[in-house]
Amino acid sequence: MTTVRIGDHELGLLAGRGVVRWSDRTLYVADLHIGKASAFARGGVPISGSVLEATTADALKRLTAMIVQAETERLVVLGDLLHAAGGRDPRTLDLLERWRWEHRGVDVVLVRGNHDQAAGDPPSSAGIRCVDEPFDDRGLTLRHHPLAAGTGTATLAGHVHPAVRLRSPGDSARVACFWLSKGQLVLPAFGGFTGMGEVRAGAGDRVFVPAEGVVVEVPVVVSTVARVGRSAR
Amino acid sequence: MRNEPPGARRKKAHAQGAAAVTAADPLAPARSWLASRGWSPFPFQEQVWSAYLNGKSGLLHAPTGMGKTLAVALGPLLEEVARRGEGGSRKRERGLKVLWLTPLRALANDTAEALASAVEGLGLNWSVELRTGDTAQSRKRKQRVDGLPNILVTTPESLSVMLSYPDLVGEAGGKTPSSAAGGPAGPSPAEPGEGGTLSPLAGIRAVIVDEWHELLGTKRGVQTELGLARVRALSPSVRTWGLSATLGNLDEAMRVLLGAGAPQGVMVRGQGRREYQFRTIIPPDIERFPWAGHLGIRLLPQVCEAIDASNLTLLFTNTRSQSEIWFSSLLRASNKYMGKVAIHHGSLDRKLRGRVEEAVKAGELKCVVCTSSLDLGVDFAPVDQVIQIGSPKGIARFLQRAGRSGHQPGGVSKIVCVPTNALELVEFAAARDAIAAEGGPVDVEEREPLVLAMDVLVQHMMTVAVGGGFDERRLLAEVRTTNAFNALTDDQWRWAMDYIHRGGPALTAYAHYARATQDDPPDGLWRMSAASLVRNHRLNIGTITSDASIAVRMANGKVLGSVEESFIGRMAPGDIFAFSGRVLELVRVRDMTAVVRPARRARGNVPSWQGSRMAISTHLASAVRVRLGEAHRGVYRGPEMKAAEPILRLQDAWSTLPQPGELLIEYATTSEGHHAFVYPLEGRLVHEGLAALAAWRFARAEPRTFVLASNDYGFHLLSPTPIQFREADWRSALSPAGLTEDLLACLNAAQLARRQFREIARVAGLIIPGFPGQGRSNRHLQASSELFYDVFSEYDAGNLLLDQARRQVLERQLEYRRLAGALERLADATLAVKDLPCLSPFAFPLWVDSLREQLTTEKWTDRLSRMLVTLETRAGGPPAGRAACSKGKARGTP
Repeated sequence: MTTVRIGDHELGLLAGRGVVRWSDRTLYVADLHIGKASAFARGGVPISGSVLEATTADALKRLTAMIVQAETERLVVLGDLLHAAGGRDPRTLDLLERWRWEHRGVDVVLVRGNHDQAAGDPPSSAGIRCVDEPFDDRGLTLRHHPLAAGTGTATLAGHVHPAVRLRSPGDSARVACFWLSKGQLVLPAFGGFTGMGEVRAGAGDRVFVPAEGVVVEVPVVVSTVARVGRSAR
Repeated sequence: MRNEPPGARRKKAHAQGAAAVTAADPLAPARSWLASRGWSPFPFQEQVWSAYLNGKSGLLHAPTGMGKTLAVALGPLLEEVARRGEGGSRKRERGLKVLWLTPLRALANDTAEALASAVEGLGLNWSVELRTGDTAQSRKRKQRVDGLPNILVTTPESLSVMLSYPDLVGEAGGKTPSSAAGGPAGPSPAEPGEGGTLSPLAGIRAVIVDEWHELLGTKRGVQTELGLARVRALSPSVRTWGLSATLGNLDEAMRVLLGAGAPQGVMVRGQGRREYQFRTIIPPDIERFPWAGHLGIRLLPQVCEAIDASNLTLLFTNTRSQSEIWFSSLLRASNKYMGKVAIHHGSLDRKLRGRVEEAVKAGELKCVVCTSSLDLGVDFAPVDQVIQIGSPKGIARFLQRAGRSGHQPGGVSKIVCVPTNALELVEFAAARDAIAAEGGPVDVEEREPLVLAMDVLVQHMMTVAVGGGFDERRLLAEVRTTNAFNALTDDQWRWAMDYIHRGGPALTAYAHYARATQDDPPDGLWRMSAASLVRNHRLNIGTITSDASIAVRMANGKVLGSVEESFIGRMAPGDIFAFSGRVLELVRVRDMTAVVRPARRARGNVPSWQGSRMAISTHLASAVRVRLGEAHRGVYRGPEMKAAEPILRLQDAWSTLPQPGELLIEYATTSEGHHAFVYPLEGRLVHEGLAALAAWRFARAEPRTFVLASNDYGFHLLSPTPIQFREADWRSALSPAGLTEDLLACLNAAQLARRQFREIARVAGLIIPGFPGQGRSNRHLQASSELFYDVFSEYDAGNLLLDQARRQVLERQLEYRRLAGALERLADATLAVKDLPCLSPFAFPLWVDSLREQLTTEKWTDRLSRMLVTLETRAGGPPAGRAACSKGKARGTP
């Protein structure tokens, strides 16, 4: 298990794209974008019903697996739980509520993100407490939007869907990553129907990529290499 | 007009020739009109007129453009003259009679002018109008409200858009036309066509498809086929005529044009072959002439001489980036070119292009640097010389480009060939062989028609659903009359219906997201009428032609043109590139616009447009193989081969020159790793497929990662671990057995299909088109095609668009037919295996000009750990100069 320390907090990085704080076994995830496929379908994009169903069901299933793995009783979503108002169809909300029922022992908190502002809070029947950023979680600042200059305190954030490009001679791939910068740990997007944004890590930053059950730290030279590679083309 | 001698466009007062003619000879009005201008018809023109008047459809082909427009245009006009002669009304009949489709907007203007002058010449009062992407909205609306002209010149896309307006199509169910759902039109024009039928398209007598060879084998061609099927359904007696350059498969081209089940068409051959004058600029210092690269810019002085010796030169390059380089180099070469040299390529702003075309016609220019954007189309009558930079890649294309000069009757087409690397000398020699082949028609390439393009089908179905709706069984029957969908299965149709209805197979929980919906019985027509869907769909119709384009704009607001999204996507703010003859720095990209400013550095990285890279054709490749075989026997014919001799001899000495029936394989080791170079000489696309296939089959035996690269001569496998294959290993890696299965299996890993999905997602309406000023509201509905591909692969595996992406890779990207043929040929070849101390002249270009495509069967974690090791090494110290030493060695040795 890869663990990082920010301030006084021991944080475990999970390959399922979550973070666990060992002191109270709180599980943190970011950017689920539930209902994104539905919002697309409602907006006229031809997406099959099976995709609508499966993207939501799959995200919730993976969340369940992590809850079980971390033996957690508290889950915090760092923003963008729901993708858009257009994605709040009865079937999607029904899946969400059913999932909540299965995990009724787990306390769930949502730190509202930009998509949540537009999509609205989840229905009260889902039993999810919604708070605005920044939210102080026992000494850990929780935000949706990371701050470019850092917050000056130990912080968890989401929003940017961080990714890095890894290369070796003749090989290259873009991978979602955890990005630790200026005391601020940015989580990869959890949802299956989400894009990625390549980060430009600076000096002193640390980058971790989840790969087949483990999380590996990547030397930060990565992003410089990526930039050099690009302009050389 | 490009099909007439110079001066024809001047509107002379003509001697009411048509009116004076008796009805006895139906062709007489045409003859007398031509006679009034001092011309007489060519036999092939009369042949087409007669065939048309006898109710036939057909295809007219000719190596060059002489007189083709009049040959097909005058048939319908003569028919109208005859009708009136038989006591028909002289009053102008309303309604569309002749629909003229051209693949190129730039052609539309000239064509319309030519048609108008013919209409006038035959004493008819028919109206002639344009309707293309360039036509003003107000004009288009007027055509919808007041009715279409008698002759309409348009493009396949514009025809498709027309078919999406109920008031232009009429209701499929035969009801009174009602105003378009979501359309801005006021009260609908109850425009009665002839015979009381309600569709304004029902009176069409003739559809003419210009430059059919350019459409055949493309998705726009499929779009044209579907549009023609629609027109035939609305006007069953319509005759179809196509115009085509010479193709290797003309019979097939005609069958596709006329549709499955149509009566046999008439094939007419146009004016005979043209005279070509062919010259290659031989590099003065062949020893120093590059083995690789594509710029050829060191021949600039000789090119300038050639330009100075002519009145007007078209200088063709193979890529837009090359055209940028040549344009700026010419300007730097001499002040006298200032204002006399212009650049013209597809991604330049339309206004700029239009200005260039005007300047050419006005005789203000000395040279136009262009890409395939000028392969066809606009008549530049005064052009007296064509310069081809780099390999022409195919014989048909070469002839077509050559034919752009010396356009006047009896003129000689002058073409000057400029090699950009040593091997292209061989290609020019081979192309000359093909052109000079004695007797018979020039042996040119085939164009394989596309079939079962599901993205185009669903787009068309949505078009018809928007344009008044359709009856499912009738539309299926209609679609199956096209060559493209003749073999469409019921299951495939079922899927397409589901797709336009609600994105895929039904799932009741989400039924309220219906897109196309069905009316109640008894009609039960399928329609798509929500205003936002209709609007988005019409915007999407044009996307078959172009990659999502990003406008390039200066900070002060001046628009320079557009580039593919994929190109800009690779650049970061601050990166430098050349575009539209300027060196620019990218400032930012926002809302489909790239904001740029002039770069402070003088020279920039030249943008590389991967998409426009063409592969050498089968015909040219086999001609090259013959030439190399001769060289191996010591025979060097012609100036090009003599010039290339030192380099070919070097190749022969270090390694060998492969003879026909021989496959050359070279091994070499550099600091980069272990290389295997294989030279089937089959063209880049085939080599890409062969490389992926061989790498996958090798890796199946022993997990490993290769770097793959390909060019027109061969392919390249690079491995970090030693490559020690025996002949039997190569034989099984290049065996035709199990080709399809293995290719598909290795494709998944290579992710080629994911890239093909970019275009498919746009055509099939998955990407909501962005349009100016409206960028933000749709933002939460925008996702990349790659993301769609991944999500569908995971959650909607039955989606036929995925299947199409894979087929497209096979058929289009890897040229499956050619690939299979190549493997059959290689199975009989003897292997010549050479172990080299350094890179050979053949290997060097492959090594530098590599399109990197990685394929791996290793576990992701293994790959990851190796990448990490690399990174750590680099982080620990300055990177080793890994490429430099082998490059230096290879360059220095000769």
